[in-house]
Order: sequence, then structure tokens, then C-alpha cells
Amino acid sequence: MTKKSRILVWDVPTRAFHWLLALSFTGAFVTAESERYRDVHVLLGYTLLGLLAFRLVWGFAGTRHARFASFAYGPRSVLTYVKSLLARSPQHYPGHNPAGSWAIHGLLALGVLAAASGYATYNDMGGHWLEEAHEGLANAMLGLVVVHVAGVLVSSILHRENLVRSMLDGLKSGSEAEGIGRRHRLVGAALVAAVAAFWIAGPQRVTAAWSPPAQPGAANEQGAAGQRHD
Amino acid sequence: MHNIPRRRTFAIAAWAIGPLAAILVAHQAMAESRIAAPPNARWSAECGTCHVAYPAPLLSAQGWHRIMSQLDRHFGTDASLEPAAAAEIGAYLERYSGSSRRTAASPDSMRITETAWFVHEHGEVPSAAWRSPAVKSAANCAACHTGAEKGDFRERGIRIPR
Repeated sequence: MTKKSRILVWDVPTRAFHWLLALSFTGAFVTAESERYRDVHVLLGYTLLGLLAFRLVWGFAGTRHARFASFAYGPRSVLTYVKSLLARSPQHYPGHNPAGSWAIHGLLALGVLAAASGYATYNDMGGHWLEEAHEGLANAMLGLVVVHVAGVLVSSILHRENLVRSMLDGLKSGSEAEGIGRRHRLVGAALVAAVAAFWIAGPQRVTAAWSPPAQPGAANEQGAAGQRHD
Repeated sequence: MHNIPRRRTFAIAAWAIGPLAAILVAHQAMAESRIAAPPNARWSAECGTCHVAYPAPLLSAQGWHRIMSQLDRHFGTDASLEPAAAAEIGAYLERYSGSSRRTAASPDSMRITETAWFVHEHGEVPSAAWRSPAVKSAANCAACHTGAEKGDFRERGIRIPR
């Protein structure tokens, strides 16, 4: 066997995308039922859609392990991998393992569908069923997030490798040949900057069609009571 | 290779379920249950005599304007107000009106029950409940929302009559 060392597998844009997506999804889910934070929810929905669009491009233009082609596994390899987990001798993959890759594809697809159905609902392009579909998709996505997180934790222990840290520093154990060369820091920085700019400048645009929310507090609402209807 | 010790299993469960629970709790907490608008004495006196004084945030400014401009034909009743009261209540309702599109009724409607918000929030209410003699009308908030008079629409205050 070749000597294993800490090698770079996740480039910066992939990591930035991952955490921005997690943040946006969490925020959008938390504000989903709130009328007061509706604009935050919508803003995060647009962010989600933008992030997913970037990831789609990066799935073809990115580095080795970020490319869709590198984690297009069939059901058989997923089964084999899960069996190896159950037998407690997990097969090692430098990038996404087969089970994880299915979670990723599922999350990306559900993310696009949830954001698109949310957009359509928000713009009155469908009936009540669309709103229900939006909620169902978001709930399914949350469910898959839980599976993903549980999978990461189980794999981390079985592989004796902190995979959460890998998504932060980009490093995993593997042989030199399996690593990637470039970090693409500039692309990552551009992605973060674009999201930050959208969060700062976006709210006015997103909610421009609305009248500003009422400002409660400044009193003078206590009129004289007791007048009767005519 | 090696087994997962029980303590680690608990740790995995905690890390997977903990954040999930936090997200779900925050999701519930963020759903407005208390309709936030400071009460107005004239509004509660004039509008709260025949029916629950409907909270201003439940309808758009446009919707309230439509209602206030035809009080003499108010859902089958003459509910005309003297000009001073009408002006004050109209201004109050408009000021705290719902700003979201979801509280906007269609142009030919001025019913809170036809807003996207209302339809969505009441999607889980069984249709039999609406026909119950104790409810009579969807406009009868207090039939199920026991705190409606106080502007409290919290989930735990809901008692659907059978």
C-alpha cells in the first residue's frame, strides 16, 4: 500500500459553498413560518439558488473531487460501501464515498427544487399545492441533511478521521497522487464576496415591491373610547 | 476493524439530533403566534362589539382601506362610524396593516379568510370543524383561538370544537 498522508482534496470554493449552503438552508428553514422575517427567508432562498448554480458549474469546472464525474457512483458501489461500513472495515475514498455522494446529489437536487418552488410560490405562480410542495421539499432536504450529518459522524469514527475538519481545512488522508494541486482561493473568495454583497445590497431589491413594514412602538394610539356605531 | 463504543454512539446521536432539534425549535418559535400590534381603544370598542376586533396585521393597508370606505355595507350590516372614529381607526389599521404580500386580499375581496396567509395557516383544520355549529363561520376566530380577544393566536391556545 502507498504511504498515506494528509493531502488536499477539497478546494476553497467547494468548502465555501458547503458552509454557505448549510448556513443559508438553516436560516431559511428557521424563518420559514415567520411573516416578519419573510424577506430574510426569501433572501436566503435566492442565496441558495445562486450557490447551487455556482456548484453546478463547479461540478464541471472545479478540481478533481469537486467534479460530478468523480462521484457518480451506481447503486452497487453504494451497497458495497454500506456493507463495508457495517462490517466495520470501511472502504476508503479520498473524495466523496458512494453513500455520501448520493446524499450530495440528493441535497443539490432538493435544494434546486425547494428554492425554485419557493420562488414560484412567492411570486404567486402556483396554487396552494405549490406551497405544500415547497414545504415538503424543504422537509425532505432537512431529513437528508440529518442523514448526511449522521453519515459524516459515523464515517468519521469508522475511518478514524475527522471529516468535519476536512470540510474546513480541505485535508484528508490519502496518497499524494489522490490529492488536488490548486486551492482556487480566488474563486472561493469571489463566491464569499458575492454572497456577502447580496446579503448587504439584496434586501432593498428583493423587498422593493413591498410597502415598508409598520414600525410599532411610537405610541399615540390611545384614542377616546366609547363612541357607538350609528 | 473496531466497534463504535457506546459513548461514541451517544455522541453521534447528540451531534446529529441536537442541531436538528435546535432548528425545529427555532422554526416553531419564529412562527408568529402573537399578532403584534399595540391595541387601540377605539378600535377594540367599535370593531370588537359585534365580532373579534381583527388585528391590523392580518390584512393589507389596501384591504383595510376598502373595508373602511364601505362601512355602511359591512358584510350585510350597516356599521357606519362617525367621521372622527372612522378616521382614527382607519389610520390605526393602515399603520399596523400587514406589509407582506401574503396578507393582501385579492382586489375584489376584503376578507382576511381569503388571504394566502390565512389559507396556509388553516390548511390542517379538518373541513368538518368549519361546519361545526360552534364555529359557524371562519370569521369566528374565538371559536377555536381561545385567546383571540386578547390578540393571542398561539398554537397552545387552540381548541377546535367537535
